[in-house]
Amino acid sequence: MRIGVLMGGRSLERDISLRSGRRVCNALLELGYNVLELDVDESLVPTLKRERPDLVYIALHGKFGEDGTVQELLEILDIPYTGPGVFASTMGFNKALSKEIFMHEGIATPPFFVLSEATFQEMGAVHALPAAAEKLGFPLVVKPAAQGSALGVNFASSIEVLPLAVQSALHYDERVLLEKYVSGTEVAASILGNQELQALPLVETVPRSEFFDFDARYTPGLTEYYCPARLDEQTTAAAVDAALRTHRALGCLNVSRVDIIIDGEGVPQVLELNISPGMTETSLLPMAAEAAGLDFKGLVHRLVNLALEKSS
Amino acid sequence: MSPRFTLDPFIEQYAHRTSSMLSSEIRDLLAVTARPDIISLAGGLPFTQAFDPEVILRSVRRVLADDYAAALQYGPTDGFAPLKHNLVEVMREEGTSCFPEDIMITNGAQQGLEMIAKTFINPGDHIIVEAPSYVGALNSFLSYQPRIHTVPMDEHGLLPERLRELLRELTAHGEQVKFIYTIPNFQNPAGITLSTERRLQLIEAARDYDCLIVEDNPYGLLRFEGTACPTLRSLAEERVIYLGTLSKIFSAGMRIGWIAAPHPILNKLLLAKQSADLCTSSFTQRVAHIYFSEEDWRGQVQRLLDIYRARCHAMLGSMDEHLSGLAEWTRPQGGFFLWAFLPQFIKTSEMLASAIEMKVAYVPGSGFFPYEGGENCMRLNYSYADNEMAEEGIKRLAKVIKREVSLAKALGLDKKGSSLSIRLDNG
Repeated sequence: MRIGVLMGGRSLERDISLRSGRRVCNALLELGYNVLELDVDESLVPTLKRERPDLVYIALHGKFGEDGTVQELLEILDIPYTGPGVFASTMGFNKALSKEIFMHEGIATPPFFVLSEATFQEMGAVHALPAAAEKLGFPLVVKPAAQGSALGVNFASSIEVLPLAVQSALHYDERVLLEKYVSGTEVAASILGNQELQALPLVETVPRSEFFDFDARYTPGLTEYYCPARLDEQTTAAAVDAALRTHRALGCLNVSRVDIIIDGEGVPQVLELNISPGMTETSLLPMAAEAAGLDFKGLVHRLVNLALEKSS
Repeated sequence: MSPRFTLDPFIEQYAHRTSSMLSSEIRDLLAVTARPDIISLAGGLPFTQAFDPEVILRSVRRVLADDYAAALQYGPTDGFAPLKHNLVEVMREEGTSCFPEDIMITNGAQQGLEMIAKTFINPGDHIIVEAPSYVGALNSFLSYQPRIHTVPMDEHGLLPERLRELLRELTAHGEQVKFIYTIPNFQNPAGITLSTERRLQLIEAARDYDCLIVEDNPYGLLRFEGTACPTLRSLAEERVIYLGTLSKIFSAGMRIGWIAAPHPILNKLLLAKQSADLCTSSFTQRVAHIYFSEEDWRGQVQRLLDIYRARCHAMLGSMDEHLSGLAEWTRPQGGFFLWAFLPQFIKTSEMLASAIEMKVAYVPGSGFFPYEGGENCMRLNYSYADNEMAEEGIKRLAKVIKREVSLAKALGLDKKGSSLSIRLDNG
C-alpha cells in the first residue's frame, strides 16, 4: 500500500511539521509501506491526482493543514486521510467556534469574548475592552482565535497592557479571543478511535516559567512533563470524560488531543482541541502512547488503520 | 509517582553561558522566510551568482594540479603564507598598510570575533559596541558574559561625546573597558559609515582611556558611492584589532577571514585558534590564493559594485515612492543593508507575522541590540533581491505598515511618542 505523507507547507509551523512528517515517514517505511513524501505547495493537487496514493497521512500543523482546507481537498479527490474530517478540523482550529460548541454541550471552558479586527478598526471596540476585562476578570489570556501554536498568545494582567496583547494576537488571525486565565494543573488528553474511543494516559505539563509561552513550548528543558498526570483517580476520570465528550462534540474521528486545565475546584476546563497533534520526538501524543505501551511505530500503525477503517 | 519527562534531560548540565543562546520566536518566524513565495529582505547574502564559475574552476584546477597533497593536508594555524601576501594587497587597496606576519587567517571573520571574545572577555568585563550592532558579534560576545554598553549613532556613525561620557563614567567607578567594537564602513545593520573626523575622535578617546578598538571591516571595499575614509588600523595600528574577510568580495562559502593585530595579541589569538580548529581549510586558502594572484579580482569587485549600486538605488527609489511618511531610513553608500525607523508605537518584531502573511520579510531591529532598543526599527537587505522583487517587497511592506499603524491607532497605542525617531538609539 502506498501512503502519501503531507508535511511542511507554508504555515508558521512548517519546521515542526517537517519534523513530525519525517518521523512518520520513517515509521511507515519500517512498517513496510510504500511512502511518498509530499511537501505542500502549488503542485500538491496535480501530484495527488497523478500519484493516487491509497491513503494520505496528514502531518501538517497550523493553517491549511488542520483547519479543514486540506481535508476538503482530499474529500474532493476521494483520497482517504488520517485524522478528523472537515467539520471537526474547521471547528477545532477555530478556538472561538469550538468554545461555543463546548458551552452548548455543557463542557466546562473558561469564560471568554471574541472580537474581530474590524470591530477595533471600524467600531471603536477598544472602548469595550475595560468592560470585557471587568466581566472576565484579570489575568486574561489573549490569543488569536485561529492559530495552532503558541504564537501570538499573551497574558494580560491589567487594562494597560491589554491593547498590546490584542494587537499581538491580531497579527496571527483577524479575530482575537479574550479568555479568563484559569490557574491549575495543565493536562493534555489524547484520544484514539472512531466508534470505540481510547483515552491515552493524561500528560501533565509543568512550565518552568510562569506561563506556557513560545519559549517554554519550543525550548527543550523549559517545560517538564509527567505521564500519567499526577492527579487523583476521580479528577483523572473527570478529565478523561471531558476529553471524550469534547472529541465527540466536534465529531472527531481517528485522533485528537484535548488541552485541559484542572481548576481550583477540580473541574476540568477544556481550552481547545487539536486535530493534528505533533509527532516530533518531543510531542505529547507519542509520549502518551508510549505510556500506554504503544511505541511510535505502533502509534503510526494504529492511526493508519483507524483512517482506513473510517474510509471503508 | 509518575515518571517525569523533560524534553532535554541534560538541562542541568549546560554551562551558564548557554543561557544566552535561547531559541527565539523571531528566529522561528524567519525560518519560514526561505519559502519561495516570500520576498525576503531579511537576508544578508552576497550575490554569488555574479561570479563566473569557469573562473573559480580554473583556480580549483590549478590547486589540484600543482599542490593537491598539501591542499588535502592540515596547514599552519596562522594560515597559508602565500595567501597572506594577497590579503596584504587587499588591505592596501583601502590604503591600509600591513605585513604578512601581522596577519592570522581565520575561518571567516566570525571566527575572529569568537577568538577575540574568548581571549579578552572575563564574565562581568565591560565592552562597548555601537547601537545597533552586528548580531553575530553580539552573540559571540554575550556567550562570554560581559557587560555590554552601547553608544548611539547618527548618520555619521557613533557619537564620540556619548562614547567619552560612557568611558568617563565607567572609569569613575573604577571599571576598565576591554575594547570598543565598531563596524566603521556601511555598518551592519544600520548602513552607516563612521566619518573620518569621528574616526579620529574615537581613536583619541580609546587612547585617553587606554582601551583597544576592534575594527570589523567586511564591507570596506564595497563602496559604490562617495569617498573612502581611512581605516582605523591605518590611523592607530598599535591599538586596533582589525578583522577582514573575503566573504563579500569573493566567497562566503570558502570561509576565509583574517585578523591583523599587534603581535602580542596575535600570539594569544593564535593559541585560541589552535584549540578551536587547528587551522583554516588548506584547500580553500589555496583556491583563494590562486584567485587573488591570477584572476582579475579588482574587476570582479567593480562588477559587484555595479550590481549592488543598482539594487540599492532601486530599493531606495521604491522606498521613496511607497514608504514616505510611514518610515525614515538611512541611505548607504556601500555594503548590503539599510536601516528603517517606523513610528515609536510600532513593534517590528510583533509586526513580522503580518509581514509574512503578506509574503514579505525583514529583520526586526531589536535583535541588533544586546539588551533592549530598536523595537520600532528594521534591517532591510538589498544585495540579493533584484530590482523588481525589491519594488514588490517594498510595496507589500508599505501595506503591512499602513495596516499596523491603523490598528495601533484603533487600539489607542499611538498615544505615547507618536513622532518618528531620528536617532538610531531611540527604541
